[in-house]
Amino acid sequence: MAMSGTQTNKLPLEGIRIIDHGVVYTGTAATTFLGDMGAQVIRVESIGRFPSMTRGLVARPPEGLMKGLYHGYPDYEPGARPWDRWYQLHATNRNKLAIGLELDTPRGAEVYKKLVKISDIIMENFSQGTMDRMGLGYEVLKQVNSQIIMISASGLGKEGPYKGYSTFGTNVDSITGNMALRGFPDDDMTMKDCSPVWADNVAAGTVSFAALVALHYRQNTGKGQFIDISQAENLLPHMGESILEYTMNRRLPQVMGNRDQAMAPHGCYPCLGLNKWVTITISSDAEWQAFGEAIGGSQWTKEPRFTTVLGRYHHQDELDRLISSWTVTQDNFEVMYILQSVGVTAGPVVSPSTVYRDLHLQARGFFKEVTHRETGTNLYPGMFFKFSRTPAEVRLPPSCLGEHNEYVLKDLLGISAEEYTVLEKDNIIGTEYLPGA
Amino acid sequence: MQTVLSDVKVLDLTQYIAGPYCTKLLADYGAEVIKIERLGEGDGARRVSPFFQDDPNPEKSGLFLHLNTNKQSLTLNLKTGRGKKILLDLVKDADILVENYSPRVMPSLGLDYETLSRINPRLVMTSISNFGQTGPYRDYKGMELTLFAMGLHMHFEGEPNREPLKFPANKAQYLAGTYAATATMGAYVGAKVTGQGQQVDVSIMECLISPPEAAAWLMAYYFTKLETNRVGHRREGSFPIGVYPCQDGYIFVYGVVSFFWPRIAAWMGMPELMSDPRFATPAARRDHHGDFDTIFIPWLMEHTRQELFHSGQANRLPVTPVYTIDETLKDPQFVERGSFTQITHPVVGKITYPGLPFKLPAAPSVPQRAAPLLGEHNHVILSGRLGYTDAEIVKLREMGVI
Repeated sequence: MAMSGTQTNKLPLEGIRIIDHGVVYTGTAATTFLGDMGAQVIRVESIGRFPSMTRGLVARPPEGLMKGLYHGYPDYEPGARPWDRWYQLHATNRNKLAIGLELDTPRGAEVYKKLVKISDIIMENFSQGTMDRMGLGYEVLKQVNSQIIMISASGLGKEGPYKGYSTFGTNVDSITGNMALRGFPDDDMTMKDCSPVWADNVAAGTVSFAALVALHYRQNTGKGQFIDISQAENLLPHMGESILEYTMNRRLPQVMGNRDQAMAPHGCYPCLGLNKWVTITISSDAEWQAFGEAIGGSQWTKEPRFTTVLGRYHHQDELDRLISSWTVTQDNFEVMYILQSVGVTAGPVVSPSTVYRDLHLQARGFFKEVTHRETGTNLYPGMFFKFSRTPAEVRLPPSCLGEHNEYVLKDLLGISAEEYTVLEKDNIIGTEYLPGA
Repeated sequence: MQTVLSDVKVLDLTQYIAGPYCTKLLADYGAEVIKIERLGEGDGARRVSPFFQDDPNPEKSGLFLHLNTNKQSLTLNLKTGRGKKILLDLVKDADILVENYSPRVMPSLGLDYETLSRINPRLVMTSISNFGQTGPYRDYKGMELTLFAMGLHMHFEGEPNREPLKFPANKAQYLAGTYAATATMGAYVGAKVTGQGQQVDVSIMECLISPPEAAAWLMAYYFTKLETNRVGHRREGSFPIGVYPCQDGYIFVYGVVSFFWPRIAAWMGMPELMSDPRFATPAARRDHHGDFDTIFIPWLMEHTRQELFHSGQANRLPVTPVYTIDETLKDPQFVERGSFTQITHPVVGKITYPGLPFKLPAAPSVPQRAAPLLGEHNHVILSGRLGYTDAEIVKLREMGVI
């Protein structure tokens, strides 16, 4: 097949169509990655049921609550269409179309099946069993499109003794044994922090990888399939060495906090300013010497008990105290510049404001300026990869609810103008949440 | 037999964690992965603990064994002309090359993308590094702790009154390996259509500040200019959340949303909590966290972890047991789904490993092979793939090329 110059520069996944039922983090981010690479991702969203923690906590926040509760909206202002202004939507939904469609109505399901017929991949991470309950499980949909790839992501997996169990990302930490390893060594078990949902980040990458692997297999064989993704199962390989420590030696790994088994110092130290910190790790005696010279050759850096890794390892509490006495007088980015210039590993604990100001990220063009109908022009975090020939860009801002109803139903699915009007009038399709959603 | 990725040929110039995990994902689904290892010492992960029976032998590192399943090992001295020629010959019919040297290394070996793409325009070359192939931090060093700090997550992990905390083990590097596998497969799927490969630059720092979680933190800040901080294990006023003691261990409850409250009361068999003025509204609950603990914890202590897990789930609450790894290995869900796998290795024998992150039911399963011994596949690759004679292979060995 002959290719013209423009054709060979098309994005890698151009021509692939993905139905995205992503909620919260895992599903929405996985399809974003595929959209970044050129797939046509279509968010299919209910207008009758509100997805909490996806387009807000509730569809229409009641008046009179504290301003602080509106921390997810630009300028704390929910506006007329709060669901199009919520930060989680904006963080994880660029490069997608969106339709508002009631799937659990016969006519909505009929429209949906038309879309399934012309799509390649369906990705859903609803609470378990939702698609089946609506009569839109894989067994049904593969009758519509025998080559469809359907991915269902959940905390513990769709099948197995815990079928139907509900989890958030941090539950996955608890059941895999990862949570028991979090924290400082002197914490008791009830002091484990449970806010960050790392497992969702892991699953977002796993789901997008699974979609591509299955797509490759289908291109070779014509076979679609149903993939039951358990977040717990994909966190386990990320714990590989901890698990092998047990399976090889019948010994549970220790809680390490910020420390390391082979390096000292290896910690996080306070710096000048409120809540400013820097991490420093020393992996050899030569680095220790370079560190001592770089910070001005204080007497303590030359003490014999610190010159060998074993010595430093056994005097870590004392060492951390002494290092802190220097860092606390320094700016945390300065510590990085000073130490990295002599080959010592150091880096600040960054916060959202410093990430936005970061010169390295700016030089790499990480942030993207995006203009959105409901939120105006803002800077968005960009892509984790850079393709040399087909760079990923933000082709579409995060989509408003039902923004592409007309394009998808009329242009893609060939639904007539008359039928479209009826669907709209009957609240099968829409661009706003129905009262009570 | 055609497995999922059995037609994909990968050259693996990676070491330690992020790169090897990326190529492990490809190898575990059937790709042919040839791992190029440094002559003599091999991948640095071979010298990292835990070691089988605590014997620091380069074939006994649990980290290496886990990260290199289903790969072939070819030792090669890339600083010799002949070593480089062998690599370039392998590049000719490779689909993917993955490397995670520091960004200066590949160009200094004369193995930059420009050179390799002239030999094979279809090649997808993925370079994984701490901070990316460009930019002022390009040559900075980064350990797991550094990456976690500069990748934003550390700012949010830990207690508000203590220093920020990293996640256990090497999660940042594993995440980057997973994301790099997605980017690599995406570029490869495109290259199959157009015949044109490209270079994929993956920065571990950027993987960490990307969607979903970090991007949400960044967006929330940008919208409001409100700099939020660690909330720690006890989110005042929001309950029940966190790890709680029970009769025989600990359970984890994530009752974060207000519509869970009636389910909590039902789970505890205490419907009266719904009309208790201290707990009746979200606003009232905010001021009575301690009061709730004095009711909740004694109730938990009357029940076992398994009772609470299943009764909580029956009330549609995200309740899970807090396990240590030995308990996870025995859990019926993981056992029944085959989440772990046993693989036999010539030196350490049969060991249990984490299994595949997901299964593909429509495709023949890939038999899982143990990580290679250092240089185990030198002969088969040189003679089978490149047509070297036995005599030539002996000579390469004598010359310090392999």
